[in-house]
Amino acid sequence: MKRLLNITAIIFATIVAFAGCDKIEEGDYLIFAGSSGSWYEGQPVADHTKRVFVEKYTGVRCVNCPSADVAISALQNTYGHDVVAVSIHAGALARPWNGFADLRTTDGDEWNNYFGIEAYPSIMINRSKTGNAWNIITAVGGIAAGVENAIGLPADIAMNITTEYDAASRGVTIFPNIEFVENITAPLTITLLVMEDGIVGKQTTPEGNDENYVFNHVLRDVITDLWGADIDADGNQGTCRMGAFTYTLPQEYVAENCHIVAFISNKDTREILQCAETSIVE
Amino acid sequence: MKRLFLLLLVVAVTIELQAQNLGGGQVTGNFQIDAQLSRQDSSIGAEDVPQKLLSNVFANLLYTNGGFSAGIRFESYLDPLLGFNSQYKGAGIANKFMSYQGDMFEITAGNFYEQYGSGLIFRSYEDRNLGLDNAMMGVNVKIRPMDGIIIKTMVGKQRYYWDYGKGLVRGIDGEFSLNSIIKKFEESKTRVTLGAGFVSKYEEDQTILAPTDGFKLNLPLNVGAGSFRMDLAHGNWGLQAEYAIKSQDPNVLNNYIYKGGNALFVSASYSQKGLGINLQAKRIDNMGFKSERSLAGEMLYINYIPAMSKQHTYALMALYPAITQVNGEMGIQADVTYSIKKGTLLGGKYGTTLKMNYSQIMSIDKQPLEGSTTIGEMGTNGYTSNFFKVGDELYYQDFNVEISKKLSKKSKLALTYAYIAFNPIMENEHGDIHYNNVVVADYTYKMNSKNVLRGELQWLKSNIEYFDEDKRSGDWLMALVEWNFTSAFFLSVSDQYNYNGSKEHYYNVSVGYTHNTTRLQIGYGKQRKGLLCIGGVCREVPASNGLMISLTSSF
Repeated sequence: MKRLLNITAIIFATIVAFAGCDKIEEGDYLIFAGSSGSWYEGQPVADHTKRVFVEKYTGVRCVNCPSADVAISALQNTYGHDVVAVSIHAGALARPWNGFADLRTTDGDEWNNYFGIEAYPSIMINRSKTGNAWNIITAVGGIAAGVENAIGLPADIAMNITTEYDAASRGVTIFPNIEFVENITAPLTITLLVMEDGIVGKQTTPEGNDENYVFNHVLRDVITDLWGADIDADGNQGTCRMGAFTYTLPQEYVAENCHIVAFISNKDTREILQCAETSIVE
Repeated sequence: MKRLFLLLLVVAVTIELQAQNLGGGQVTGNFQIDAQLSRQDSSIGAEDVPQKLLSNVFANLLYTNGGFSAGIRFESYLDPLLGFNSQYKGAGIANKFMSYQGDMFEITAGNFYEQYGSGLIFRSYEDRNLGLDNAMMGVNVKIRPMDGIIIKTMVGKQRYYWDYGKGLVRGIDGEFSLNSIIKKFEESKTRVTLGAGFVSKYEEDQTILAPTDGFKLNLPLNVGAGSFRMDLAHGNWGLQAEYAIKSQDPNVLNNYIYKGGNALFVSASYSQKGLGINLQAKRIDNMGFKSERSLAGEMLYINYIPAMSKQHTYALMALYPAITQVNGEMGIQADVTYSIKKGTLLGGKYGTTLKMNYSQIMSIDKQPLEGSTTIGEMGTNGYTSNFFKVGDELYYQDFNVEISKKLSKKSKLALTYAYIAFNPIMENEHGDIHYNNVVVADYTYKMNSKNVLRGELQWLKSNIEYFDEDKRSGDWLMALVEWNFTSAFFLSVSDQYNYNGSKEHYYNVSVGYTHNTTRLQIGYGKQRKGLLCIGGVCREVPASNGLMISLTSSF
């Protein structure tokens, strides 16, 4: 009988462990989805270059992260706007220092968890995969090779992006204009981000803690849904579509230092097909 | 065409094998080849088949050696038969597993099928007639720590055509036979078995936009369902009951509402020589449970709602089958079989068997939420429902009675009458309820030990006039003659005639040959567009006109 009780106890303990069904409180059934935009007839895009999206997961307490900043900055100097970089502060090493800004975002945390980032810095290029595994670069020396492999490839879809900014209301209207260079049958989404340059804060470096470290390309917000807004297009070669998304820039961001980054991804695989960047204030 | 027959012949000869010994173990297997040639026939709505020849092929190979077993199943759909989802197109090893069964445990790695209780929270199964296979890919463990206890636990993903669903399914189930566990109940005439299970699904987040602009649904990533059940038997009496609940599971089936689900299934039976009675009742409320929340259709169901109506085998009685309504239904069924003894007035020289079955399926009570006028609004709790109150809408009703009697040493006759009410809303269609009266006479005559002749006459009278969108509508007659000769061959000729409707004849001629474990059947004729339902789960069968070849064998 004692054995039976033990078994029963194990069963119920397991059931309890399994019983991790999530409960959503009634007031929380709906959450802000991000702007889903409106879509119109677009214009052909002159530049058919496939740009490279370099996504760096970093933290203010990560001693090796500044060297990744250097490597990415060098690549941007070489390839200009064909390399679009975003710094996402997430994970344990992104815990803010006392008296300094918290550069983490809930969106960044979600991506960090989704992609299974465990080491910092970690760099993803175009969110590419090998088989079912995400290609994550953790050695700074591998960033250049990763970018060089991805750059100069033919683009299936081209994009440029413009913005209109109203300083009084801090309202930004973002116009991504896309052209299907090839037929694309996969469902596509567009994700819009706000990035900020020139944020001064405290960063661990190999030489010690630097309280005047300048953080660039910092992810501040995701304007669309985390996984993007559906692109309203038939995917046929030659189709041009223009989206219009509105956003109000929070007061704490310096408008002159902010940029909008847009990337188009395959809704099913999440791989990024094209990206573009523009400043908010001309 | 010649090549096809040659292929079938070669396969038939090749598989004339016996179970083979291999390394001390045993290899067994079976094959099934179904091939179809169909041509365009606008009169019945049969579309052109550009490939001309379609085929579904299954081959199972099983190796067993002591407690160890391993198996694979090859499947090919090149291209799939009409009515099977085109996503099956392809060929390959669809199922593979290895398993070891010890004294106290059994572990299976790879693909497996499993069921907890009556399936209200978990059933993984294959029904190839429906094109349905939700085999798990993962690990399944069964533990028997002592007599009377069996614990099952599993984790895996469900098959989705040639891929696997995105959701991760985990589960545990325990079944306890009190008569084996508690010594003083060992000899008791009352047998009691209790069981409980829990299944949880994890699926990553996705964007489901809410009706309110700029908002999306806050989705639960883990959804759980649990159930308790009991099985009581005492002498001629039996009682089975299971109650299940499901946590918040906004999905495409329930229009993304946050109300939890529940289900109750009760079955009571009594049997004695010459008499069998079975009474069943069920209530289902929002119990569609899939491993992908936004997937409609029949694939990726984690659970199974048992059907509560008779599975008719006569073609015209099966014309309007009951379809399980996972979003809500209340049903009852009574089934009585009574054998009248030989030598009595009604029993005659050889006895008479009476079968009576009644089932009725209704909607459940659903009321709008406070302050709302809509039922099932997306992103809300959907509705409230009084558990004991029956809804207003009749979904399905079936009263049927069958008298079967052996008339002489060589002949027997079965007469069946059915009254079937079918609400098209079960198929998500609108329209009046179909009230059908169906009569069937089934006569068998045994000419000698090797020749048996069987004939069926069926008549269906419907209240619904024929309309082109529903090729089943109108009144029907059917006749069938089947001749089994030399114990190995059979020939069957039938015709379904929509005499008060499209005036279309759906004739069929079939011949078959059986030798040991091999059976070859070739049929030619027209197939009416309709639904094929097994246990309340249905597949749409499109119209076809042509040849159907089926070969099965095992070794």
